[in-house]
Amino acid sequence: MGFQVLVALAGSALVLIGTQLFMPTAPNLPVISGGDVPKLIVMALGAGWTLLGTVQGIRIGRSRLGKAFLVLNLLLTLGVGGAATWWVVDYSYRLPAAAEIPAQQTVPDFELTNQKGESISAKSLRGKPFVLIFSRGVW
Amino acid sequence: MAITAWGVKHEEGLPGRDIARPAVFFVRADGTLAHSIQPDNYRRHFKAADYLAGFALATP
Repeated sequence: MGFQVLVALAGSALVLIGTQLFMPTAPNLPVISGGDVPKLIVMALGAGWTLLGTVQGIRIGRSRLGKAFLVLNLLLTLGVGGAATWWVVDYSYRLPAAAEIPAQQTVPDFELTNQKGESISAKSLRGKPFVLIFSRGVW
Repeated sequence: MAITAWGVKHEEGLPGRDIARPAVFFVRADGTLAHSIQPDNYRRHFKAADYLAGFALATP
């Protein structure tokens, strides 16, 4: 087995390791966070090694079967890494349809406690504009 | 509950984590809705300009 094949396989292993580290935390994160950067670097480094090993293998190698294996390995590696990254970035939990509140209709009432322990409701805010923000429970 | 009344309950959310879909409602002084931001993807971050534009619609 040539050195270039070892480089390509090591790159593939890095991509898979990076992907494994990247995936479990993905649903709990709103966006790619600072903690994900090292994992993404490992994946990018692995993809680079795989590409380098494949190009060199095609350039230097003699066996057609070996070259085909390297190309297949490259496609699989880039496919797995790319699909995982796409899934993480695009993950959306299938959010429900947007709430429809007619423009001329009075908004539904609510009663919530503010940071001072005071009760706030839509009725208590009548007479002044306000912004009501719903956010995901855990960030 | 406000989440149910405002129609932002997230039935398929992770238990105890994301009970509501992300949404921002801008309400006028008379209690009617002026504008709302309800993204399809919870990863979207709201910008200050989004809030300012919405609040401008809610104020005379």
